[in-house]
Amino acid sequence: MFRFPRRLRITFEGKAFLLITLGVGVAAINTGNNLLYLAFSMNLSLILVSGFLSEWTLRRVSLSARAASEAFAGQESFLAVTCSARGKRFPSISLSALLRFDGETVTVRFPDVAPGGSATRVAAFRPARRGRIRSLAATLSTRFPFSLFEKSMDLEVPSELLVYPRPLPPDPVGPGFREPGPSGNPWAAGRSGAFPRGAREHLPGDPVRDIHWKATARMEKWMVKEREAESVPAVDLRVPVPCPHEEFEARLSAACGSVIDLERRGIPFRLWIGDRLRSRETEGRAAALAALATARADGMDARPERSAR
Amino acid sequence: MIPGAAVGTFRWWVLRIHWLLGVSLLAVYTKTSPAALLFTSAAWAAGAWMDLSGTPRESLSRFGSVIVGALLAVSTADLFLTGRDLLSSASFLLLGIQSVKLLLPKRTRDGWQLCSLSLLEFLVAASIADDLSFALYALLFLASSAGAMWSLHDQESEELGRPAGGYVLSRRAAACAFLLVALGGVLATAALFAVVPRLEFRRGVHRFGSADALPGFSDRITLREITGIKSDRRVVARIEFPFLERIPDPGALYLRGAVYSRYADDEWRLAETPASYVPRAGFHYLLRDAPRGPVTAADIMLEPADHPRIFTCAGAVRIEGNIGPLLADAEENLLLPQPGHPTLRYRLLFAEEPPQRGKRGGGPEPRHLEFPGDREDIRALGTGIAGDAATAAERAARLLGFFRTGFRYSLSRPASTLDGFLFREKAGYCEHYAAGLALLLRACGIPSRVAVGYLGGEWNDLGRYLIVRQSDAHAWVEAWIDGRWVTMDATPPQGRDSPFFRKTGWFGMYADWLRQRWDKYVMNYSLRMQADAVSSGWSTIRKARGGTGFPGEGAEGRKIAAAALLIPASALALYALLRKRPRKRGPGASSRLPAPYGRLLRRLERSGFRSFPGLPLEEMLAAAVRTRPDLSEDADRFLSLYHRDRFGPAPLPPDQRAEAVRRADRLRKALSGREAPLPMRGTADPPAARRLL
Repeated sequence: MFRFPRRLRITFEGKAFLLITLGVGVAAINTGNNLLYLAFSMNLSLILVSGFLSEWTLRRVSLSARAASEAFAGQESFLAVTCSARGKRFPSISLSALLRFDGETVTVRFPDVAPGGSATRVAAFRPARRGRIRSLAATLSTRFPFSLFEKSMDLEVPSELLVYPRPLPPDPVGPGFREPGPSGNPWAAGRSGAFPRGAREHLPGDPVRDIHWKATARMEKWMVKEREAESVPAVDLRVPVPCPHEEFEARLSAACGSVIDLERRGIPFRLWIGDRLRSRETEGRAAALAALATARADGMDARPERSAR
Repeated sequence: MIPGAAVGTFRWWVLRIHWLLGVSLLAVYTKTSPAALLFTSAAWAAGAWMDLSGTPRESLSRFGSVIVGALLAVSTADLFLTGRDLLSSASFLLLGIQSVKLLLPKRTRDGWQLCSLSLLEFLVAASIADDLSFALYALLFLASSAGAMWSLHDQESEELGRPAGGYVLSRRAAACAFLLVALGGVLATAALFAVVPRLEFRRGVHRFGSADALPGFSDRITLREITGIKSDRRVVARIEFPFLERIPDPGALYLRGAVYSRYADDEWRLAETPASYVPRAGFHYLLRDAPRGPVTAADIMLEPADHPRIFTCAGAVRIEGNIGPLLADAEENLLLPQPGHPTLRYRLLFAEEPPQRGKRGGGPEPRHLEFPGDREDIRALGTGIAGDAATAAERAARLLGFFRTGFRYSLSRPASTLDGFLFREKAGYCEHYAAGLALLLRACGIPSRVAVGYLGGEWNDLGRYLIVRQSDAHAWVEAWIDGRWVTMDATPPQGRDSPFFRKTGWFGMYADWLRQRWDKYVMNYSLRMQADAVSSGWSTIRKARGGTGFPGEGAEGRKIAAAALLIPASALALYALLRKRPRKRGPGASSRLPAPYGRLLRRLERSGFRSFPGLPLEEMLAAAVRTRPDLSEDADRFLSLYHRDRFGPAPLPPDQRAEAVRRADRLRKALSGREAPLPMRGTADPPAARRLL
């Protein structure tokens, strides 16, 4: 369907200005007074100038979005929106970007973007569903320069957003996806009291007190002490497939909560979706959460991708 | 960079200038009460002072509507009960509301209302003004309107908690934007003014009030009427001769305004014959049938005047122009239906050889031979001079010759009566000569009348037109000889040696040329001129294409073809050049830092806290706080505000932005007071630094 590249909304002040301009035009035609024609032309020229300037503000402006924090479904997260004015000679002034997420809108305002430059702003948003979002629908508008009109254009904003499932509080007795290793209770696999037996590379969540300073200096990267208890096999988190949709989402949420909890406590884990290993114990939290974000209830590999509208 | 506070102050001054311009337009171009203007100006000054000093006046707002209602009632009563002057009452109301608004606190809506009032004042002035100075006012008003609306856009954004656009614009960008707006606005105004069709219905009010106009013709003239006029240098008309290659002789163009044909008690009076509408076809007013001889055209631009007379000349055949209904009386005087007119422009076509008689009669009547019964001495003088001349032409020539000897032109010591002029002192000016010759002609049985108007003028070679001033006022005689009215002038020619002829300097010529262009292309721009422009453009194109094909074989055709090819090619080349030179920045380039943050960043760099390129402001500030723990509170709060301002969903509201700027300045000043040591690695972090990191 044909759509105009720009949309124009007349503000209250704009309506008043148009009304006055119309009045001046009628007065000019009625009286034949050329100075009233001059005033009429001045008003029209201000409208024209307003149109040109707002067009120069909007043209060649692009938006991009990326996550400024981990995004979980149903939880407040942060989105970094970048407005670029590459290849422009005129600054983009007084821009307002409206991004739409599953019926929710996020408004980000850019007072000015220098020609050739870009500006990034961070806004809070609350995604409704998990999944990978490759593009967002956005509207970029400006009232520059006189607030008589609000000119806007629709954009498809490229983004690499990964929305993780809504995390549920971990259930320590939840059967099916959390099994202790053969050497005993995985919850006792803490570091305190365990005998150190070597050094390994630092992982997120490792306490500072475990840093192996000599090994760090020798290897020129952060190393921590490895303890006996760590040889305990990782916890296996299992999400069965195929599975009814609602139950599948609930299991993903529970797995997500467990991943966060295990990561916080420093317990290694593996993630199984169906009979396929989707995250090894060395891959850590990011890989597991990504797998959970893109998992499908039918167990197929094709990851759900969507455009948020 | 323009700091936010400075922009706020500047913004309000732009608005105040806009509002003041409206008042000054009323003061300059209308006859609005000086007291009302003074009151509004005082309200403007008081409002500005209260704005600047932050005087609380929220409580005054509730009186605003009451006062405006009272003003409305007073102005309505003034209109219907006393003055019945719409302009005066409307101006009173406008200025009253404006004064109240200027004194009250101003949010965006109030700002828009004040701008609307200013626009109304501009329109009132535009409906009255004729002067070239209005062009300057119009330009200023256009620029200030754009500035005011821009400012209100910012103000509105701030009120809604949105970013005020442009507060981090560089001076260069702001200047470029302003120039673009100004230039684009002026060009667009000029283009639109040229192309908007000049449709004129003239159904309602034509003009409000009147500008200063030239005095008109009285219904009688005496021998004491003209002396004051001779020192009046005001321009009455400017005349172009579009089809004449050579410079015309100003001394041969008699511009007739009124004809006086009744003589009694030493006074010449208007005949007051009934006037009827001149038949017209479109823009053409038909005065006579087309003559056999050549016809000359004169484009006459009349300055505003308070009389209804339209100047013409002997042998006028046709008038072309959009001047509304036109009346003519039996003496071939042309009049507008109402006295007073603004600047008028029309083309007068007249036969070089005066035709026989006018379309509207215009032949001699008994009043053209009326002779005072008690002036037999004059009759005897006339018949004595005419002698035995057989024809009227011969008699008239002898009478004209009578004034060539023994008479002298004098404005300083003229004769006080006609008797004195003809028989004793023989000194006087044009009215003496005209009155004397007319009576002598009547004494000899030749119908005659005294015509009053203008003769001569100063030739402006810059614009190739004739400037006719009040000092060129003149009186002469029209005599009925051989079946037509013949112009006879007994006054000795004054020429350029006359002590009353004053030449305008080159500056005056340029100024008058500007005024003439203004009158011609702005004040009197008409549908006819638009049609002529389209017609000439079309004929040029046809001429270029016609017969020989495009491009034409002739030199002119080749020039047009070359221009037609070169102009679009140049425009395309320029466009391509501009397109190929976009401003390039690195992929990570970001917008410029607001000025206070930029100054703090530079201070930190100079103090040695940027240990490697790319170290962000936060870490530099943390390093600075390690060496100056007393700065931790300011730094902590500043970073919180800075992050929200720079990276939050919207910039800070004005009060928080002011706090951020204040803290940034304080940090910068504190850091610039000493030589900061280079930050040491491994230094134990003080608590403040840890908090920052």
